[in-house]
Amino acid sequence: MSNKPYLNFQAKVLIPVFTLSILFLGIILWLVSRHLTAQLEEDAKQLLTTSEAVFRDSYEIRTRNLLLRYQNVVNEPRFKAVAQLAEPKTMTMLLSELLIEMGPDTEVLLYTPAGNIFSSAAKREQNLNLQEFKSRSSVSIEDALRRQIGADTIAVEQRLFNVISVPVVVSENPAGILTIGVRVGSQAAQEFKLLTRSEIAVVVKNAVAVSTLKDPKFYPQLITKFQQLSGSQTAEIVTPDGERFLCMAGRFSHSSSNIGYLILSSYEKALHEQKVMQERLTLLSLIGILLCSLLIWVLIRRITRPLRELRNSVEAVGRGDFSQRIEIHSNDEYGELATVFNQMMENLNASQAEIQHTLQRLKSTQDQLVQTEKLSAIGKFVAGVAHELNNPLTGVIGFSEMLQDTGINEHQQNYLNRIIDSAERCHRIVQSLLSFSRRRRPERTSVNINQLIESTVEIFKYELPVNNIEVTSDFGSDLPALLIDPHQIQLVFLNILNNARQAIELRQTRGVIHIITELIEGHVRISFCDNGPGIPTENLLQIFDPFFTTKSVGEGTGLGLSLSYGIIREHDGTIIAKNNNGKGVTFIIDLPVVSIKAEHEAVKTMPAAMVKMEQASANKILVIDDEENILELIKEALAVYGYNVETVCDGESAMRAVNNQSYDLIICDWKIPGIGGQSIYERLREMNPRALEKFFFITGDILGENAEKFLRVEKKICLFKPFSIEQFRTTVQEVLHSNSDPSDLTTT
Amino acid sequence: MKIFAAIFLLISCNVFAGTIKGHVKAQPRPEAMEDVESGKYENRKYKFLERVDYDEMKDFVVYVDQPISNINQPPPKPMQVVIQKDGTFKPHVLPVMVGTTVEWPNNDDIFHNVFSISEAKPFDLGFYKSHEVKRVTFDKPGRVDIFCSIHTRMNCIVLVLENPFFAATDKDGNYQIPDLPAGAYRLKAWHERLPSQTMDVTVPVNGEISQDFVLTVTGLPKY
Repeated sequence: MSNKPYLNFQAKVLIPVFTLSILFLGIILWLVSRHLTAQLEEDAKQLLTTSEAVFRDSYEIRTRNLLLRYQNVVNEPRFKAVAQLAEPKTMTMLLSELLIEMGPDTEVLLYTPAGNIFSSAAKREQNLNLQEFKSRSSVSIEDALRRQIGADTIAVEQRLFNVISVPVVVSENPAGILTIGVRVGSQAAQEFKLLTRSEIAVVVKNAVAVSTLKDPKFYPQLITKFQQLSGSQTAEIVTPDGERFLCMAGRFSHSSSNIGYLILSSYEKALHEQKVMQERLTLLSLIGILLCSLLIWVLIRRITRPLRELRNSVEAVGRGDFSQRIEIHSNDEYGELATVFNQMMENLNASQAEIQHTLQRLKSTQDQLVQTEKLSAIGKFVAGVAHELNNPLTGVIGFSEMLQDTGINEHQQNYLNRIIDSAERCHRIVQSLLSFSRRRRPERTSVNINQLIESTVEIFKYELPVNNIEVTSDFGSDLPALLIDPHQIQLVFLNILNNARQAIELRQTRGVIHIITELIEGHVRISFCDNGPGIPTENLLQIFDPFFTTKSVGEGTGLGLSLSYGIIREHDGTIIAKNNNGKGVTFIIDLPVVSIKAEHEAVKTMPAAMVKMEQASANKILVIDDEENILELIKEALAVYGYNVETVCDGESAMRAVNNQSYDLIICDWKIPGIGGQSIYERLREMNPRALEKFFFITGDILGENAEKFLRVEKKICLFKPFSIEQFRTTVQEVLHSNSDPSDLTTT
Repeated sequence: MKIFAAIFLLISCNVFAGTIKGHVKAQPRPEAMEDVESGKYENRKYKFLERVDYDEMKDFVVYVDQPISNINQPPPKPMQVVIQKDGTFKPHVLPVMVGTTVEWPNNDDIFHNVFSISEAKPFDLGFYKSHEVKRVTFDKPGRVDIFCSIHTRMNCIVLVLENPFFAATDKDGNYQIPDLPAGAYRLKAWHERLPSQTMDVTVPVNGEISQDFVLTVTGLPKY
């Protein structure tokens, strides 16, 4: 993670877009405004120039119109008559009348007779200085005297006049000049303003004579501007009252007097319009930008919606919720992303399930391991106990048998038989304990499992119908032959059937046991399904534990199912028990199908060659055992047949004895405290290999794999305790008479 | 003797003649008044119409408009005067009997000119100032319009009548025609700008009758 601040997509897109838009808007507005202002000024200048031209033109036309209007006044007979009369008062009277007739714009009528003897005048405004008017009109009058029509613009006391001077001719002789003064007043200025839409100010002697700008407070500014501009044709901006005008100055060309004019063209309105337009443009653009931004925001929100959903989903996955899926809204990159995510989730789910499955298997394996360990520990314990019991049992059985031959009465014989029976029973218990400890490898052979089951059921042929128990079967027809120890597997079946039978007969009057065999994925599954009372769930986990039983004391050892478990495990199979949905228990045994060749190590069984016991011809036999009882028994049993038996109880004594003399037969216990049977054998072999030609072991224990291997290599046999005297003697005979190759001999 | 004769005449007149008195006034057409009230004349169409103030109208003349055969006498006032003062003729309307001479003195110190081109008496007295007196005798009945050639607004009317029974109204519009022999007459009221009005009156032997006139514009041609 970088330390940059978190910015979502909206911000990332909107900020630059917004900024750029505003920037561009600003630049464009600035450019447009600059251009428009320049255009505006140009237009105003153009307008001003046009206005000035129009002003000059209209002034010209006005003058011409005045000429046309007044040039015929002098041709009127009464005017001519009065002119001829050359009487000032009459002329004055006439002029007054004419003034009334001519209309309000005619301000002054001045008649100057030839010779300038007197002059008559009529004026509309009484306070007008006629003398000044006359002197100002002199230029025009002089023009008229030269028989031209004189026209001029004059100012009298800040009043502006158009003057027209017309020569009066009476009888072909010049009689005088009629000068007409027409006021150029605010009405004319207003007319001009209407015509050109420009303001005008006429400046006379540094004062404003006529102006369309009414407020006199602007006049000083106008005069200053006029003084600046007069003579030049440039236009400048003047702002009376804050309103912007472009103005231009000019002079009436008729005289050199200081009468001029200022034409002012206001572009304030245009400026205002421009400003308004600019504001509208800005507002519209801003609204547009805002709308666009809003649109972009909405769009991005829509676009990033699947992204946010993905984030939420991934978060949920992070919390361990693997069921999250993204809805696919669109058929685009997001759609692909969603598809891929969903695919990933599928895979994750699958692997999760697999892990769960594996974990479960691991757990069950661990359980089995624990079970195995338990069994193994108990096995060791049991083996130890059994070994310890075997030696005394050998004594009990041996001496009891020997006692039988001592001519006891029938009553005693009866007791003795009971002792022997009890000892035999002890022997069987020890035997079963020992076989439970599984020191023996299963002796495997190819077996048809269906036949094996049938033969097992055959054993209960009479027992089951008596208890109203029916056995039904559903055997798979194409099952391969299994490489198993039929005796051990049969024991398992017997255990199961027996348990079922006992459970059913204990609780109900009739029952059914259904047996199914089938081939499932390289395993043959054998299911025993009964409709008995079932096993309480809390017991279901313990039924394979050794010594676990629900039966009353004496009815079961609690080793049956534990033993069965051991056997099936030994066959690399599994056995489980589960309660049926309705009623009863199903035991399911899976046994692997193994190629027959691979494990074909069938141990050859050989019928024991029963050699007739013959008198020993004083053969010397050395017996090595730590048990005094055993040594005594063997000595007694063999001495009867004339064998010369020497006994030693440890390895050292054995070495010495073998060193001192040779023996026809050496019998050695497998377990000697301190050194052990195998070591004694090896040391004796080092000392005198020949002495070991006739040699066998006895043991109260079960042999481990290493021991069995050792025996096979050395071609020696081992007789298991407790043995009967008869058995022992036969073995001695066989070993003695074998041709130093007792490998075919074996014991059970 | 002369006095006696005059007294006799006066008495005889008084004995055998009556007097007509009355009042003359002008008034606009009733419709015109309505039009004024309804603002019709405010329309630009009528911008140049002359607004006439009928109440200010004066210079009415009332006269007997018929030849009177049994009276054959010279005008009662053989000399009348119309003066020129301040650029106007005074009086503006002068009724005279045929044969009357009118003097035209100029009381202004500027030149005036007196002329007429009317059929009854065309004349031109030329330009003159105050020190000259010029006369004109009107020997034909009719209306004579007189002008000054310099001052266009200077004009007057000399109404030349056939008998002496006439009267101009005073400033209030009243007139009086005395000494009219008893009988039935056609009496006419005249104004320079309005159509004249004629009334038949009967003058008693002695005493006076009253006859008022209201002049108005009637019977204008329809356009």
